[in-house]
Amino acid sequence: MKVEVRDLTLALGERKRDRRAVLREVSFSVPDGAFVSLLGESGAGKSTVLKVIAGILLQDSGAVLFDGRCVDGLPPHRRDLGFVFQDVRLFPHMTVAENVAYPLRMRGVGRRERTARAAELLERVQLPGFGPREPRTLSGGQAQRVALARALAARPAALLMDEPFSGLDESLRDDMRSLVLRLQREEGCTTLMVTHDASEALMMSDRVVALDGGAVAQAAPPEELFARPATAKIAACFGDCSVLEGQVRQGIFHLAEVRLPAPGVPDGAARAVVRHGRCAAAEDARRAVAGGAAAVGIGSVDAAGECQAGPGAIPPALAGEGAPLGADALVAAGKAMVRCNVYAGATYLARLDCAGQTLTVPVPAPLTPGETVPVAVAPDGCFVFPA
Amino acid sequence: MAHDALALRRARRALAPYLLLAPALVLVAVFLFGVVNGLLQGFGIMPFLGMTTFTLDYWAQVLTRPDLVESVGFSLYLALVSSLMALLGGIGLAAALVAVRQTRLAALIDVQIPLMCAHILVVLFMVSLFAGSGLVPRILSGLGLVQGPADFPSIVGAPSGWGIIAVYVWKEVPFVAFCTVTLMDHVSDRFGEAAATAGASPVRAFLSVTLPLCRGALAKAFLVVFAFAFGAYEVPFLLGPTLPKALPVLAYLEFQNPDILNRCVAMALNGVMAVVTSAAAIGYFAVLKREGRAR
Repeated sequence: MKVEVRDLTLALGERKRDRRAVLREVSFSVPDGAFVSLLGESGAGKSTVLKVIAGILLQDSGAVLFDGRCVDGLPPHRRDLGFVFQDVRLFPHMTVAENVAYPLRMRGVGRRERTARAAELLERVQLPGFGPREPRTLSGGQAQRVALARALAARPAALLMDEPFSGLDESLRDDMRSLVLRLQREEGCTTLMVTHDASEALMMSDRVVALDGGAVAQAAPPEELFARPATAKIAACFGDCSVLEGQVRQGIFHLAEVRLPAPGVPDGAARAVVRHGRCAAAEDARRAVAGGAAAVGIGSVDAAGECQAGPGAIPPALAGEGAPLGADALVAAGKAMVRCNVYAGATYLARLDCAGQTLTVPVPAPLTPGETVPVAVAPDGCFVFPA
Repeated sequence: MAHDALALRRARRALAPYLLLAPALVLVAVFLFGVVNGLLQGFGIMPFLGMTTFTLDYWAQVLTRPDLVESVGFSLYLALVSSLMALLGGIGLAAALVAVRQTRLAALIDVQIPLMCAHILVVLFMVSLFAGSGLVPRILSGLGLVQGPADFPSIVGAPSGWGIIAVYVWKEVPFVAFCTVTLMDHVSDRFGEAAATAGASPVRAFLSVTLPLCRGALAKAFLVVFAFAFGAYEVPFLLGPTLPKALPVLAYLEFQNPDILNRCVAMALNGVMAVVTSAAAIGYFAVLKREGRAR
């Protein structure tokens, strides 16, 4: 089933004067059988969109369509959806099997068929024999599997999931992601998942809808979202990055002595996002940009004239950080003073001072605080947006 | 030195709970003194009259008096019917308040004002509404539904005790709602949404999820109302029939008897009441324990 929302607008608040716009003309669609993620930070309106689609909340304007048919007049129980809540919400007075079979019971399915389907689903979520147990005896991961089984029990036309993995340990999350994807493919169920974890959205989705401040900031396949983020927030949401406020002049972002490529960005105040895995400092920067700096139109790194133009080697310290750097990826990006270093396991992170702001760069060994070092960035890991 | 300071802090921490409990313990002590004193009087011990010999005579007198069974039965009937009706009404009121998201005005009118009214006030307005010259019989008479205001079933002294039940229902429906509405709101918000998205209509979600999850609070509210309606005397005293008398009324009349020795009989009757209300209290704590285990 194709799920579509058109121009959803909603303001929430107990009293009229407290009402605050939560959704602003949100439009996107989830193609039949696709897995789409709604990505955004807290308060972006992700869960609200999900609740409007489920019919739990009523929008002020706009429409929800299933296969092109407007369902705004249908109450939640008539929308034929499965819903997995962030806080699980298994019914504590029912056994695990009764929980899984509940949607079937509500649809008038006979006891024998209900029991069989519940047992089958519990098997598929790797909880065979858990039927007679009480929900309070389950671990967080087990409870979330039961919730998933319950949501799928009645073979819903679409599955809605509200941050289903956020309450789980990191080690469990990956297992659950695999399980959800496997079940989603097996059932062929159109799925819309809310998440604030950009990596999760990238890994699981056919398409990602990024929400910001109650509006759609970008809707694109995950590769595009990562490679060509539409806003600084989206660029920064993948983590491990530095966000800098500066000025763009003639296609170059300036902040103190740091220069970043900003092609096509109009002159004026701007915000730059630099991914840790796509920048280097000190010796790494010198080696990486040797011989190529002049070609990118950014002033060459002139710290003692050491940083020359030309392709450079991949710093070994960066190999584990984000996408691997291409041999000719880095360009000279000026220089900055080392403020301090922190140990980050595979590498150290050097905190470079840029007019009071911080550019974090992975380095193989701690740099000397107070020293001014050359910086290099990969254009595909550096995004500049008008502020 | 440091060791002493640590020992002092430990001692203070150990002592703190008892000090904080002290005011409550004083109240409990006063209550226990009253209970023990009453129990002893039921066994004929009233030292201020020089009666110090333990005797079961008063209990025997009470248990063999012909009106006891009827009085206990009438009180049980009043308590049971009132608390069941209050329970059903309370569930309905709480559900309605949850459905309208408890607007302040609704909560004030439906719960807070009735809770603040004394029972005696409710008796007065019930009488003014339903007694022969009251508003309701006159309206019904005017509409031709009853022949005359006097034909309306009397609220005072009716053998069915409907007036007493009506007062308790009016007072206790909001009490049951008050005891359950917060939990019901939470359950409905959390699990009601889950039930709705699983295909349950609002009524089925309420019956299959919300209500079962509120049964502990409802059972506790029911037991409190039952124990109160069984043990309170002023409403059956004002509105009850001459015979049978509700047990608390019987005890009160014996207590008020000019012969102070009758106080022993009154206390023995109170003892009978205490047995029934203690059973309700045991039920209450059993529910509490069960809820604790479920958590």
